[in-house]
Amino acid sequence: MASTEFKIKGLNQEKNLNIISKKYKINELKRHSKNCSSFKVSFFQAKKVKKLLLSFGYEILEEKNHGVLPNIIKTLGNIYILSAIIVSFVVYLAQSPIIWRYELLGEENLTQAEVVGFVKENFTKNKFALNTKAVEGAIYDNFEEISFVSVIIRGQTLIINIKEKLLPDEIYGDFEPVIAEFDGKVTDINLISGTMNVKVNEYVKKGDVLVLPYFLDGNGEVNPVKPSAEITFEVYGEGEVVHYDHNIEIRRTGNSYENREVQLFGLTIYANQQESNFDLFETEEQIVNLTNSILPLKLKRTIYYELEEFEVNEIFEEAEEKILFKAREKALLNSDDYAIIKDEFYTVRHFEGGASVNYVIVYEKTISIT
Amino acid sequence: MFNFFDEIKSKNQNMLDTFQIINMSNKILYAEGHKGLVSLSKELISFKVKGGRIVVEGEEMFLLELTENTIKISGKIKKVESF
Repeated sequence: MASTEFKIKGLNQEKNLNIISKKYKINELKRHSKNCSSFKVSFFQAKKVKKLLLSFGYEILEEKNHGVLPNIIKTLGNIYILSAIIVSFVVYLAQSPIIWRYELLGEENLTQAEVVGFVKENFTKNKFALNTKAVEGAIYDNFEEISFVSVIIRGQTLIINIKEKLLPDEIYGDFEPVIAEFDGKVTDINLISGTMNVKVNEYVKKGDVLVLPYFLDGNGEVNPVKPSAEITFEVYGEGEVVHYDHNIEIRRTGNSYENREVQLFGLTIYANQQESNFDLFETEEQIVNLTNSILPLKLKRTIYYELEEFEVNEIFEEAEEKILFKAREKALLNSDDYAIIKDEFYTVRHFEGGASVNYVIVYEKTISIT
Repeated sequence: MFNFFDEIKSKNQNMLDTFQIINMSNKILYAEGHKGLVSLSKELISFKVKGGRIVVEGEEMFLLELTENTIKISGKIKKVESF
């Protein structure tokens, strides 16, 4: 219970306490010394009791409130806190009917912006004025992709739960045509959807359009569709080798030496280098991390290999088999792995001092676009 | 018109003016019908009653309650005397 405790100092206390007790109930009356005593009265009567005490000429040494209520009233008595509470309350009341957040659940092809944008545009933000049944109906009527919709308001959030119909892809977006990814000859076409842009026996180059993403109906109208087809190509893997009857080739003699450098942050801090006495050479470099600690010390090895030139004299007819093998190897490298070879042929072109061989491997490749 | 309470008051005036004191285990003394506090200290509390004065002696005594008609003393009560 809320009470106020007074500690008073003055004379003739018994007489005056009798007067007070005739009007107000006194509790826990204690005499501390001859002229000093303390007592409690109800918090609600404290002001009147205080007035009486002062009228009797007592000095009030202490006035203390007990209980929760006096603290609340004291806090509320602070003008700033009271103002803040009132302002907060008014702001809360003002914004409480407003829907601040929109949430869309269950969307797959539709986007949040589409559905939420539609609701924001066509319905009030006042949650008390908003008819969720009307929102449900409007969403259902305006989005044919939706088979089920439910709208609820939870707090200040409008939750739209939808379930979309299983519609063909044609309903959504634009479609890209099918583009050739390699050169070849079209040998067979199995069109599933779309419009073919090439014919059988037609040669196509990489980047050419194979299937267009639409079809024309009986009225000549263009209907977008996801292109789909199975196309078989005859593809050519080519390899070329050029042979010279007289040729200068370079090879390593087997002589070599090594220079070493120790580097820190790219700067050489130690080097063991010797002068090169090779007229013709090639180099190989290796960099090895010496430590994996904070200091990035690296060892740079430079190996010098001595080279020599020598003359090779071999006419094409003598080396033909070897050259054809090389050219075939190159053609196979330019073909798909595990390709079933349909045919292979080569052409030889002679020129002064040599000849070039062009080897072609013909194989089939089927692509399936769905 | 007959009034029950007025009738009791007029016929039992003496009874209403009397006082009664209840002492509970020498720890609390409750008095009804007192006529005013006379003295108050930790060792001695006295108050007027009709036709005299009640003096209560003890240790660490204080008034648990004081109203116009009732007085409730708490503490270690040793002696209650009527003068």
